[in-house]
Amino acid sequence: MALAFRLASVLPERDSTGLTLVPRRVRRLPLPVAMVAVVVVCMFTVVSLTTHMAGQQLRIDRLNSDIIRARNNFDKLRAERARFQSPQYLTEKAKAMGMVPGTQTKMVEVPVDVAVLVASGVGKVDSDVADSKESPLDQFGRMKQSGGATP
Amino acid sequence: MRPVRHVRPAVSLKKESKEVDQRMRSRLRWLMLIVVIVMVVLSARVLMLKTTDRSGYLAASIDQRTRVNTLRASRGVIFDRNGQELALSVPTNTLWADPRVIVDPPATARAVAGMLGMGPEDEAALLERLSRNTQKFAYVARELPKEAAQAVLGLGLTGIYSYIEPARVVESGAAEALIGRTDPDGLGTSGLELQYDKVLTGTDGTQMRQVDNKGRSIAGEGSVTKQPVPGDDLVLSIDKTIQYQMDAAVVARVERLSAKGGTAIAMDSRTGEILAMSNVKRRADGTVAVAQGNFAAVEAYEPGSVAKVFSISAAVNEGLVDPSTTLRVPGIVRIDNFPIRDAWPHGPIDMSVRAILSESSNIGTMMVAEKMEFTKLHDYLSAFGFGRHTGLEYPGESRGILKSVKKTYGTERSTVAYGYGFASTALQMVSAINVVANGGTFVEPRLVTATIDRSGRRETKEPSKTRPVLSASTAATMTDIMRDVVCTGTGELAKVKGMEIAGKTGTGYKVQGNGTYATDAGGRRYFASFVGFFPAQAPRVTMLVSIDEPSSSSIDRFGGTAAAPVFAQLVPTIMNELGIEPTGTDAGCQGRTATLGH
Repeated sequence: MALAFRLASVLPERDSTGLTLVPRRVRRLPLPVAMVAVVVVCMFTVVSLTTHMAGQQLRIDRLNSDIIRARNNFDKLRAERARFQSPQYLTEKAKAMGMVPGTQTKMVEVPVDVAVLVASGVGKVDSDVADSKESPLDQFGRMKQSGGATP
Repeated sequence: MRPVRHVRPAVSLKKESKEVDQRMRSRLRWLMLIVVIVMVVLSARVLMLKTTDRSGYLAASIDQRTRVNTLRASRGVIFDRNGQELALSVPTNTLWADPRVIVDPPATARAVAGMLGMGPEDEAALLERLSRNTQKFAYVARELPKEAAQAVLGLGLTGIYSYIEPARVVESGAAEALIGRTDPDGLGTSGLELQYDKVLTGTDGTQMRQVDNKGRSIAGEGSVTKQPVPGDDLVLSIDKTIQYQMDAAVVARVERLSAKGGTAIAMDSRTGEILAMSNVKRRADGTVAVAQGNFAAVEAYEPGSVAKVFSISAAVNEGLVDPSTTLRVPGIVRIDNFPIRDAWPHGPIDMSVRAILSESSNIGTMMVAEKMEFTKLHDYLSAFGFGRHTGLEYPGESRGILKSVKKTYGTERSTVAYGYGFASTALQMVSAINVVANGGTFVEPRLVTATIDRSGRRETKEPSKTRPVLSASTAATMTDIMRDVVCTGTGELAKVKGMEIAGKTGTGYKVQGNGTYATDAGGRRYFASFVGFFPAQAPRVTMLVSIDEPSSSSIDRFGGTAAAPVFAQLVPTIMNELGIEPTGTDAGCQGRTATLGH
């Protein structure tokens, strides 16, 4: 009986049609295919990473160009500002407006009470102006420190 | 009828298939052998490429696909004492060409030259550069304005490109002679640009980029390999406004007096900081303009009567005379048969030391100087700074001429006392007079007060070196006498209402080409000076004005008439800029009377 059972479990079932029931094949990925798949996935990952990095690099290059352009513009504006502040330019503009340079200087002593009257009449000076002790050179140094000098 | 099928016997079939098998196998073996040989050869070649031949191919590969750009570092800015820019670099466009790709160099050169307004010689030189078709780079034009470069690029000429390049600009020409120049590559070639070239010049960076076979950049592949380091900035002691006003005043004076040129220097009496230094020359075409060179530090001349301050200071400091010491001064003296006279004819008169200086008596000064050994006088002149560099270390600075004691003979030992027989630059002269203004102490002049590094940190330079020359009481005595020069003496035109001024005039004869002080026609050429300081009691500024060869027929050929008015004109500007308070409402000369009646 046991044998019959065993036999029954070992031997394939036969039915009357003569067909044999074949055990279902377990689908298993063979190792080479798996390796190829891994390699392909890695390659795609590398490609996408590289593309992303290239995109970032493009952005950095654009930023660098913008920075260089901004610095060039800053230098041009500074040169222009220096020209507008120069005594030569101010003299030319003053002449164009019909002013003439003074030829004489006169020192006039102002009585103390008159000076006090004028000071009180002017009113309180804005503390930002009165307290501002930073010279243009200090401002320039601060700008250089914060902006850096490298492109 | 059914076809006959020939069926081979089983035995022969088997034998045949065995033979076929063997032939196949043999062929396969041969094929395998060939494949193996090819693989071995290829492998060997690959191994060679990867080992022995690697470096050459790697270098060629890198060279083929990479380009290295130089990132120009910014040159430092030069500021004045108030933080205003005197010299700075401005981006400009430089046009360049790749001659290898230019098809028609003559037409290209003609088009570019026409657009840029080049002359025939420049166009020919450009054509020569564009015709070198083995070179890959040639300059077309450097440091152009953006509009000019764009106009050329707009022509669409093959092989013409542009890039941004910094150009050095000296703002408004202020202190141009002092600051000096740079070459197109941004290196200092003269003046402060040369002296501080290492400080101002930054370190260029490099950027490597990948390019395709047409030389186009591969986007996103650029990488900066080395950041440029900008140069440090300089802060000068110059005041831009005082410099401008001084230039204008000296130019106007030289023009008015039909002079050859003029010089002026203003210096902080206590620190030696130079507030302004002006050099004016008349050009060959007759126009007068600010000179390109800093002649105030380079050209030496016989100072004339200004030098009397030093001789008399020495005698007072040695205790040999005081202001009230009286000498009997003759109208003419002969030394080795050489006549020495005063500027005005007179017989023997009694003159105090005060009068000798305020009236500028040559003979009186000589007599005072003769009270000490010549070696002592020579030592004092050297201590005042003559015959040696001032310490400014300006490129090309002259030490003037002060012969050694042994080499000074005869009349020179006498004439040195009143400014003939030695030569000094304007810089030496103002520094020497400043000894009196600075309480008897010589302070080295300086132009640079600080630097600003790339991180914005300002580093102040060490104060100027000093050395004692006179005692404080001698300096005070000389100041008082020099007040008389301005109040009642030869320097009255230097008076300024509201400021007490002490000074000395000088009118020197210039040596002519014939070796004498007279021209071939018997005339004279003059060097007129006024040097002084203010406020007299607590000096803040020492200033010298010199006019070279004012018209010899004009009354304004003397120090007191040619140079002193310019001094007076500049004092209010300097007072205003530096916030120097007036000493009163007038020139402060009450109580001072003329020392002589003439």
